[in-house]
Amino acid sequence: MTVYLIRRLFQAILVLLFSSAVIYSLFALAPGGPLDELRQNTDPKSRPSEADIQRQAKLLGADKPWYLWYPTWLAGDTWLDKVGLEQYVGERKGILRWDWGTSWKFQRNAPVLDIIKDKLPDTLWLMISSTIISLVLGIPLGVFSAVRQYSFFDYILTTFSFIGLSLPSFWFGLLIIAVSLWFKRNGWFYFPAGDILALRNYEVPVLGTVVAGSFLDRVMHLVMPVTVLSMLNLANWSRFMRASMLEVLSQDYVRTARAKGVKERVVIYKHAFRNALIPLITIIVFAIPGVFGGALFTETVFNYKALGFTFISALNLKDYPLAMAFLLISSILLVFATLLADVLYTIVDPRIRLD
Amino acid sequence: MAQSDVLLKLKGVKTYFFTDEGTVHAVDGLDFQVRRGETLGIVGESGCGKSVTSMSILRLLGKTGKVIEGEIMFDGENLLDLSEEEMRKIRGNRISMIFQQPTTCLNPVFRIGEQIIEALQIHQGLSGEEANKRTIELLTLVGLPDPVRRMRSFPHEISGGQAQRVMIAMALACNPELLIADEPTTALDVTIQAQILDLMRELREKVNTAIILITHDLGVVAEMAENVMVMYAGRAVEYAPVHALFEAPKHPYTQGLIASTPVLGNVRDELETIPGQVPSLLNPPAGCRFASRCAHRMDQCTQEEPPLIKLEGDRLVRCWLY
Ligand SMILES: Nc1ncnc2c1ncn2[C@@H]1O[C@H](COP(=O)(O)OP(=O)(O)OP(=O)(O)O)[C@@H](O)[C@H]1O
Ligand code: SF4
Ligand SMILES: [Mg+2]
Repeated sequence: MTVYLIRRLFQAILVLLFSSAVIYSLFALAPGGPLDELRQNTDPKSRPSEADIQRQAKLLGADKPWYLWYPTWLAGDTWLDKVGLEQYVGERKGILRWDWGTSWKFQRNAPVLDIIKDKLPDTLWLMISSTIISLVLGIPLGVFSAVRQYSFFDYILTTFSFIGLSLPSFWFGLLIIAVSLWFKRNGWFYFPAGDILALRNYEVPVLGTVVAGSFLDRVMHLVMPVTVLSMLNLANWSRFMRASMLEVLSQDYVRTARAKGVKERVVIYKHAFRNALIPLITIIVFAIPGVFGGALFTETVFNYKALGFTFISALNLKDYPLAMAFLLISSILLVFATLLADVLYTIVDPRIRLD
Repeated sequence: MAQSDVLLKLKGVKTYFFTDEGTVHAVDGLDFQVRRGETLGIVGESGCGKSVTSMSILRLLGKTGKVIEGEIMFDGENLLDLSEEEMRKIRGNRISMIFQQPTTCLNPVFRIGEQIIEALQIHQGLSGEEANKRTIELLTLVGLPDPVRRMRSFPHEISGGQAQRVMIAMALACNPELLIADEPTTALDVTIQAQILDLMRELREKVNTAIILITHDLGVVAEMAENVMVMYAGRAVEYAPVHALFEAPKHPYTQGLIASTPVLGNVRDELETIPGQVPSLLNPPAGCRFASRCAHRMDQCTQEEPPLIKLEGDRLVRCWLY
């Protein structure tokens, strides 16, 4: 197990080096290069200044010969004299030493890692609560629907998840915003339709005054985006759980359990459920990178300015350091999730061994 | 005397599956009985309703299947009249079952010991040290080497033959009066098959369980059974003591079966050599179900189905030739 983990760790590092190279090339080596494209930008609002362009060239290492670009970006240029390239020595420390550059549009001159750290808590609130809600509801719904396959309940759930999967989340988001505004206009109970926290205290029927920035305020703002996000995950995961459970229920060992006189409830929740959960590990573990990435559309619709919104903005504004940081962190989490999934599989599935 | 001697008696049992394509007449009017301690062999080619018969007895047909007619009398009680809870107390306790694919029949995420202990717990309330001791006893009984260590193994860590031994141990855990063995050796290597059959014979002496042995291997039947029922397309076509059946098969289908089995104990699918196909169970033909493949077919055969005709020596046959 230890040997396996060490080997996997090495593999993970290689994969990450490779993906960092790919991310780097995406931004640095795009046809014409990022710098040319920046100069061609005619939109006065997002057009970078010549100083920005020079800074980006420095960050990417593009002020040096091509073979030093990626090494500079990755490991900085302070050490270049040690390999006999005194003329290129600079002050860059490189991403490996946490020098990820500064944002040059989204929040001008703020270090990108600070921006991300700043937005992370709001993202975690949103993503973790919707993930937990989806799992806590989706797993039992899927099991229930599998056990009662073709029942009225099963049809309802299947229809619901079909709708949930095919409705674009921004459409559903806009719909509930409209409903909420209509409620508000009628003086009924409503949830605030945008932002992460309110700036001023506000009145809501039933609850009374909600203090801006309080926990209640946060929850009020989370309800609608979490609903939209959970709809999608719930539809997905309950369907997955249903399929997994149906598959397991048709297995021979379930028949054995019944033939042994095991109570039907125990057959389902002990013999079948334990096995049906195994494939769910993949889904849960791979939700981790998603939690970091935030919700791209939903955050935009609800003006919930967390990481998903930031990433979209960084791309739109061509804020390369910020966008690259996102992709890089996401790929680190993805590699980590793969490793975690492998380890978890060996814990829950005795058939799988790591060696 | 005669009454209490009969352990299981099926009368006119019809089991249908209601599917999208129509109603599958999987078992279509079946009568037979098993005496205490008797071994009855059921043979017939794939799809003739052998497994459905056993699942009907245990009432484990799933949502689409149903016994729509008949009686399944077990020790004087009609199993079809029992509540689900009463039925559950019989499963694995008074009637147990072993299956064709032993390796897929054990739950992959639980240890072998746990799976046997579960049966002891449900029906005998055993737990802890007592249950452990009894499990080791059972595993020793079925000849699993190193039972103390094996109890802690997972199913994927043992071979198919060993898995079948574990299944047998589990089935015998509560000293059942009836053991239904549905092709217990079909999925195993020839040498392992012989070992499992030896084991079953040995255990039959020790525990005096009645056995319904389902197979399409006539060799296995010859070795194990006292009486044989031959099934064809959801119906019994012949019933006889095992020696009588092999000496003088009466039904043309049985004759075909035996003629196409050159060496007893051979495992190949001996039924390929009877020309023609089994009729669809969605729409069984009106007359004799074997008529389309029968060399002795007469006009009467396609018009009216023959009844089970009693012959001398405790034999029954469903054919207009007699
Ligand atoms: N759940 C089901 N739904 C519909 N039809 C079924 C179902 N189970 C069995 N059948 C049908 O019932 C018939 C009898 O099946 P059964 O499994 O009893 O055959 P068998 O004699 O055990 O054959 P084998 O030797 O292959 O095990 C088959 O035609 C099969 O297609
Ligand atoms: S009844 Fe007729 S068709 Fe059927 S087995 Fe006998 S002879 Fe053949
Ligand atoms: Mg079968």
